[in-house]
Amino acid sequence: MAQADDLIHQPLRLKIMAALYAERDGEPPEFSRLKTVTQATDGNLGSHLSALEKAGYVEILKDHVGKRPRTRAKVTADGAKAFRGHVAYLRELVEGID
Amino acid sequence: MKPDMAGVTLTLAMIAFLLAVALQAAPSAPPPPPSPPSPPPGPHTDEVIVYHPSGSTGTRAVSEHAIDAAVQQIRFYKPAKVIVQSHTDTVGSSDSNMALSTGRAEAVRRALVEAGVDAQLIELQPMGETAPAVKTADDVAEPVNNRTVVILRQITLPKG
Repeated sequence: MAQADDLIHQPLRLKIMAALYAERDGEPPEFSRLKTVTQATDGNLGSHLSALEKAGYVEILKDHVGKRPRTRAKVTADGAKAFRGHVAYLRELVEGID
Repeated sequence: MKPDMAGVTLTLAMIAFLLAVALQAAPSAPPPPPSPPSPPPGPHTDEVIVYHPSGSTGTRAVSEHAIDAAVQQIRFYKPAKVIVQSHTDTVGSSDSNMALSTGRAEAVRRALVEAGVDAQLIELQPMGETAPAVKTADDVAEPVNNRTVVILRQITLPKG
């Protein structure tokens, strides 16, 4: 039986991880795009990204495009592994007792 | 009775009288504190998820109590709007999945209304296969993606 990841289990963090995992091989998405995908507010998204960064699941990339500051997020190898494990847990949970 | 004894008796009688008057004038006992509000129906999560079998508008066993949980959350937090957002996996065409997610959203709305939720609060958002919880290739029956999310918007947090 796969194990739940308590940090990823929270609905918004699960959405963030799903979005970052889906784009792990491409260009890391910008904060504004993550906001659109997850339908979160600035503050909410920021605090959950910080929690994921603290856990080592996400890397926050800050730079400038011209004069515009840019914040992007990228799932780490540990984060990708934790996400796969949590999805396996969800899958077993959803399918397990039918 | 001796005069000094009479004085003592009179004094005691006056004290008793004054005590009786004071007790009558005293405010009555304070009313009992109001009973605490009923406990919330579990932690507020903004969302309750109903999982469906692939290709079906039915409900999986794991979500047997999801509608009840959503109704309890709605009764307790009194949202101004309840969004019923349905999704599918990538099995079948995108058009058929849009139709399937519409059917899922309508089934969940029906269940919520039958359980007493005001139909006017509910907004349906069929998403088809466009917003999976887990991105997959085409034609993958991903159980985690076959879901309807009941989202509470503009909730009222109980006082206290």
